[in-house]
Order: sequence, then C-alpha cells, then structure tokens
Amino acid sequence: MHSDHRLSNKLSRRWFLRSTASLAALAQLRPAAALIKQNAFAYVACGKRQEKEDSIRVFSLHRREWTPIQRVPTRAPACLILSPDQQTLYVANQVDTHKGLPHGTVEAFCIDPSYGYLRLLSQQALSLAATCPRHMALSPNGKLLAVAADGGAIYNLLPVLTDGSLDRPCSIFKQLDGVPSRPRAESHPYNLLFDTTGNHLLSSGFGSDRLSTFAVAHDPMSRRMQRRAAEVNDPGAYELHPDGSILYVWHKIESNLSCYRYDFHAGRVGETIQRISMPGYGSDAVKALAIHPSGRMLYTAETAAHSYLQAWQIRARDGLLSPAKRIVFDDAPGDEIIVPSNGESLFVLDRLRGLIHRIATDSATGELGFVEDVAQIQGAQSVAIKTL
Amino acid sequence: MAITVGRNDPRYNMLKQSRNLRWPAHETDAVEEIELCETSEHVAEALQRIIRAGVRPTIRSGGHCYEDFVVNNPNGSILDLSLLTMTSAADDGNRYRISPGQQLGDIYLELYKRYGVTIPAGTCYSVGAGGHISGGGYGLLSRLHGLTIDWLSQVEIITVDSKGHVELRRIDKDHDADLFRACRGGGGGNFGVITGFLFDRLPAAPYEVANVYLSFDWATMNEDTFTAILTTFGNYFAHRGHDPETWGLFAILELTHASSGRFGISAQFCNPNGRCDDLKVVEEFLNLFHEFEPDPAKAPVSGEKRFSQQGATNRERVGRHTVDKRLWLDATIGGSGSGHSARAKYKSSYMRENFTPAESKCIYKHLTDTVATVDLRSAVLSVDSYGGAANAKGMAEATSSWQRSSIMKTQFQHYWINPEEDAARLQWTREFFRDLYSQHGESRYAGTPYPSERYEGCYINYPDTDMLAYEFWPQLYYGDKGLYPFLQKVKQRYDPNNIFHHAMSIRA
Repeated sequence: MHSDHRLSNKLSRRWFLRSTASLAALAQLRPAAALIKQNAFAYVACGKRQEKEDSIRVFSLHRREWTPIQRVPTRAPACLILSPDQQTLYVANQVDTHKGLPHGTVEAFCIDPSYGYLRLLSQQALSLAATCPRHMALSPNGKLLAVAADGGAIYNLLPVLTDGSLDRPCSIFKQLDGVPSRPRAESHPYNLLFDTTGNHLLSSGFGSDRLSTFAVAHDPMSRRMQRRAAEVNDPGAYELHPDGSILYVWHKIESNLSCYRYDFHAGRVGETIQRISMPGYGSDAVKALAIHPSGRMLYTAETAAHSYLQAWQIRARDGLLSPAKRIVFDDAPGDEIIVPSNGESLFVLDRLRGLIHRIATDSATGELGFVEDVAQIQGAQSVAIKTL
Repeated sequence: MAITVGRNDPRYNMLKQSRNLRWPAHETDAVEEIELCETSEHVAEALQRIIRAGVRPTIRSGGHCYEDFVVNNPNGSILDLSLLTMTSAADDGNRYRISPGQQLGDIYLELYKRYGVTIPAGTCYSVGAGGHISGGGYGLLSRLHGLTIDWLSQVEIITVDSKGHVELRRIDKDHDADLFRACRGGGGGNFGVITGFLFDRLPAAPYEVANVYLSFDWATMNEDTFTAILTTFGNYFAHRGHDPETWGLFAILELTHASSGRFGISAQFCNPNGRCDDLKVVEEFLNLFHEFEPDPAKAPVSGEKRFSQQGATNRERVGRHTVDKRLWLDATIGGSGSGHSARAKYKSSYMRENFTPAESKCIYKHLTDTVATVDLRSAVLSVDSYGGAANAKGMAEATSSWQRSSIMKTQFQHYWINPEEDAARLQWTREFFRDLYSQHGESRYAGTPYPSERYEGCYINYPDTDMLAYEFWPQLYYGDKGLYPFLQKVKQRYDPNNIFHHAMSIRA
C-alpha cells in the first residue's frame, strides 16, 4: 500500500496493511522503477483548491503495489477522466480564476502508452463565469468533453481534437431551474453523463431537483444545448446501463434507488420499472453509483449505520436489481467508484482520508471478490485507472 | 417582439461586431443572435427567452465598449438597445427621460430643442447613453455641471430574480436605493438591463462657448520644453482650476506621438451663466503657454479631435489670442462624429496631482520612441482637465463614481486598421502605461495608477482588461474604501445568478 502518512490504527483495522517502512522511499520518483513497463497505471488528482501541492500523481500498478512514477503539478484537480482509448487523461481544474478572468480550466494530458507518464497537451479555459468545474463526461466516441462548472451552474461542451487536446468551448448552457423551495435557482452540477448514443447529456445538481437531458448531437460546434427534455425529481447519483436503455437513480430525499426506462433515441427518461426503498438512509447516503462493464452488476457506495459497497445484480432481461454481495467498511465512506474497463477490479475512493480500496471483481459477472487497501494519498480527489 | 438577427441574416455580420474591430477576437467568440429591442417590454420578453434557453445575454446600446464585454459571447445573445430611443418624459413628474439606445448627439439635440437643457456628457455623437451614463458620463461641461449621473433621479431597470424571472424596477434614492447607487457609475453589464434614465432637473444648456486650440511643433520640442508644457497645464488645474469661475473651462492636452508632427491643447469655455461675455479666464489660461510659442492656426493632425474648428461663427480677439465663439449646440453637435470603426486599445487614469518631472520625461520618452514596423501617428495620450463640479462633495457616497478629487483624467488611445499590427501596438501601449505608472508609489502597485495621494485609479468607462493581471484590479476601478464590497452586495442581491457578466463585471 502506498501512503503519504503513517497509517493510523483505524486504517489497520482489517485490511491488508503493507509495511510502512517502504513508504518514504515510494514518495519520491525512482527512475529505475519508473522505466519498468506496466500494464496498468493509476492517476490520482491530489490537492485542495489552489494550493501549491496540487498535482496529478501517477502510479504504476503491479498486483497490489502502487509505485509512484510521476507527479505533475496542476491547479486544483477535481475530476479525472480517461479517453475511451485510454491515451489521454482529462483534468477539471476547480479554480475560479484563470489569467485574471473568472473561469475554470480543463487540461488534456497525453499518456505514454508504455510507461504511463503524462505530458500536457492543452489547457483550455471554460466560458466566462464557468468557474470551479468539478465534473466531466466524455462522449462515447471521445470527440466531445462535457464539463459542469459548479460556479455559475454552467455546462460547457469542448471538442476533442485528433491528438486528444481540447478546443475552445463550442456550446454553453447556464442552468436555472427555478425550484420554488430553494432560495436560488442556480444549480450546482455534480454529475454528468452521456448516453450511449452520445447524442444526449444527462445532468443533475444541487439546487436543481430534476435530472436534465440536453441534445448535443447535431453540429455541436454551433448549436446550443437544448433545455431540459425529461425530468426525474430529486436525483442524486445515477448511472446508465451499458446497453443504454435503463437509468439507475439514487433519489436523495425519498431515499430510494430507482430504475427507469431510458429512450436513447429521444433522450427521454421513461417510466419507473423498479423502486427500492432504503429507509433510514440520509440524503447523501449514496454518493456514487457504477456499473460493471459486463452490464451485470451495479455498485452503490453507501453510508448509513455503516459504510458499504453494495453490489446489485442486474437482471439481464429487464434490468431489475436484486441485492448481491455487500462489503462493509468500518468508517470509510466511498465518494467515487472507479471501474476500469477490463472489469477485473473496481476501486473506491474515500476522499476524507485519501484511502483507495481495491476490490477484485469477476470480469464476466462483476461479482465482488477480496478487498485490499492499495493506497492512502493525502488530498486525493479523483482517480482514473488505465488498464490497456 | 424584439427583432431577432441570426447568423443567416444579412445584418448579422455588421451587428455581431464591436466598433472596436478587435472584437470579437475569434469567430467562435461571436454571438448566436442579436435581439433588437424597441421597448422595455421587448427587452423583458427577449431577456426571459434568453434565460430560459440557458444562454448568456450581453447588453449593447451604442456599441462603443472599448473591450470585448458585449460581443465576446459565444452561443449567446446581444440585447441591442440601439432602437430603444423613447424620449417621452414620465407621467408622474416633470422629468426628462433618456433611453439607453439614444446617441449622445441626439440627446443634446432633443434636450436642447425641447427644453433648453443638457447633460454634462461626452463629446462623441454616436456614443450610446446606456453604457455612457451607467459608467458615470462626463464631458466638456463636467467641470461646470458635474457628471451626468450626479443629476440622475431615477432609473428603470430590468433585473433577473433568484428564480430566473425578469422583473422591471423603478429605482431611486427611496426605492432599491442600493441598486440605484450602483447604477450611478458602477459600469454597464453588471446588474440588469437599464431601459430608462430619468432626471427631475437638468442644467440649462450654455448659450455659447469659446473654443481655442494651441498647437506645438514636435520638431522644435525638447524634453525640457515638453515637461514645462505638461507642468504648466497640470499646475493650472491643480491650483487655479479650483476656483469656480474657471469651471466653465474644459481643456484637453492632446499628446500625440512625435511622428504626427504636432501636439496641442484644445479648450472650451463659457462663463457659469452659459455666456462668453467675460473671457479673461481663457486669456489667463492661454497666456500661460505663450512662452512655448504655440501656433493656434495649426489644427491637430491626428487623434480624437474633440472640438470642431470648422464653421466658426465669431472669431474674437482676447488679448493676444483669437478664440472662436460659437452657439453651444452648433459647437457640440458639429463635427462631433466618432469616425469609422477601427482596431483600438485604451487605458486610463485619474490624477490627483500635477505631473512630476519624472512622469513628464517618461511621457516624452515614449512619445518620441519609434517602433520599427508601426506608424504611431494614431497614438494619443489625452489629458483631460477634471475637477470643479465633478469633484462635488457628497457625490462619491451618493454615486458609484468615487473619483472625486482628481484634477486631470488621462485616456490612452491607440487606433489602427491592420490586425497584424496588434501585437506591436498593444505592446507599445502597455509598456508606455506600465512605465508611466511605475514612477511613483508602492512597488506592489507598480504599473498601475493605484489609489494614492497621486492617483485615483482608472475609469470604468475606459476599461482595460490588462488590469485584470493585477489581483487588485477592482480597487483600480472602484477604489479601496469599500465601494467594491458594496457593489458586490448589490450584485448578490439583484443578480444572484450572475446572469449579467463580462470580463470586468462585479464579481460577487
């Protein structure tokens, strides 16, 4: 396990704990180790807003071992996302000012295919007043990056150029929902998702009590996104099934996990096909959802009486959920679930402690296997795993 | 309904651009649509539609914004108010109405012909009232009558509430007084869309004015003489200019680049009663420059010529000088056009004290320097006289134009046509400004006229985005005495969703 600190006794409760003796040595790049070809790399956004220590940290992955190989300074990295071909890493910089102007930025890094190193391709400013971006989504073909700016409640679409770098925003949308019960109409986006066609973008956020879908398909270079086309009240985390036809949504206020039909031709959310009540769960009880690449398992990171990673088996014929294995974390709620494309594992990030857990998964079924702590990285905000 | 001009409309290419042809800088910065509004109702309807579409609105009245605040709006919409020119007064009082789309020249004509009054506003005919008055509005009569906003009684403004709904407000010192103050000099594009300025009273238009022009030959100039001219000019307004009998004198030191051949001083004068019966103030002012052997016959050769010398109706000797006495409206309207659109860069400062020798030498150095590939004849440092009624006590607190103790106001102007010259011309202008404002003051504010004993920052109607490089840019435009935090509160209250924004808008 890689760590920035000596682990507290809480962290040694039940998980595998590697010797801390090697940690200091791992904190620095070792060129010899860095030159070893690996199959997998982890990219960890580290830091708090606009601090000097902000960076993207790169690790080579070998079994349980996370070996640091690069530290790339950047500003307030809040979200990482890999291109579909895993050759480019995109970073949302959660800043409110860039070169004196009020906007955030996003960066594109080229990934060395053999050694995993990052090289900056481009830094692109978002539209004016689109500050503090925290979430991103890439279209399935990798040609369009959607960015949600928390400040200003503004969505930007940025074309991805052939080398993976980012062009200027081509579409801008400011979301005001006019929710009567809330003092301000401005929403604070916290989730973004393209549907499987890439023609629609789904979004939700605090201050907005509905899921919005935007049409982005036709000539996005000049055409603005369209207003909300479908509504799902009170959405928290959500995820689409890989076949594109079922939408899974955690409803914050009602504390239930629901499944909806999704019409990807029209970009509309259809009827509810299942609702799983989870009484006793608070509004932020489910912070993250993820689906295994096989489409056979949904995962929820939950915090109620304890912290769990709950697996839900997805019935093949209709997408309905039934509970499967649950893994209990003593006090480490998951803020982000990362499911690498090879389907052999998933990772859960606990931002508060910077803990990253790895859970082995069956690549064919998504069933959960053994668990291990693989890293503790102070200030970790987001993780991306390259497996190709 | 507003008239919507989209990309396929033949008018689009004209209406998408600024008078400063540097903007939009990229085709992708250009707006999607322009909404031409003729009434407040048109504005409200169009604005609501824009907000529902998730689009950013920017606001244009005359199109003279120096920076890209309006036309740099990718995917957005410009609310163009140039057709919103209604002038009928409000029903509930003896008020004068100015609409944001009215051009200053038309306002002078209208107010003069209908009522015999005027506003102490700018000299360019085609400048729109919306932006001009929002930022303060000053001109040749400002030493005599103050700023335009000093006379403002009420504002009609459309704001957007927290739910995204448009709301028409009539604001004054008793209704939304905080917003009213913010609209009196806080600058355009910050809080909402102003659809009307109302005045309970306005100053009488002068009957006549006396114009003079002094021209100096760069060929015979040296650093000492140049410094002496600047010192003489500044000294007058630092001392003699405080006397109310001089407030009818507005002078501009037009410091053109040496390659233009000449530079000069333009001045307009009338007595406080709006007549030119007693011209001893003018004579006294002109006598100060006699030793520098000006040639009054030589007209300025470049720059923004503020006073028309054509068609003078009455040449009159004043001591050893000749002045042109003209009826005020003729002098104000005649030849006050704004010229063709061009690429341009502007900067500004307020000066509380006279030029120091170091400043004068710095100006001399830059105006005599050459740039290999650039013709600098179109570069001008205009030094406007200031003070008088513009420094009226209490107005700093009643309005958002806080600079009320300056004696001069500078405007760096640089015009050109060829985009390939952008970099060289911008660099020259930036270095000139940075060098000039690095002569004095604290080192952390070097390169800027940060508020101090010498300076009062910059004018928001002459915005300069280069100042954004400094974290203290709000203090340059709004001072360091609490005005900016006040404006931020107003912004939070009346535009909670930051619907109205640009590069230098108030940041809540």
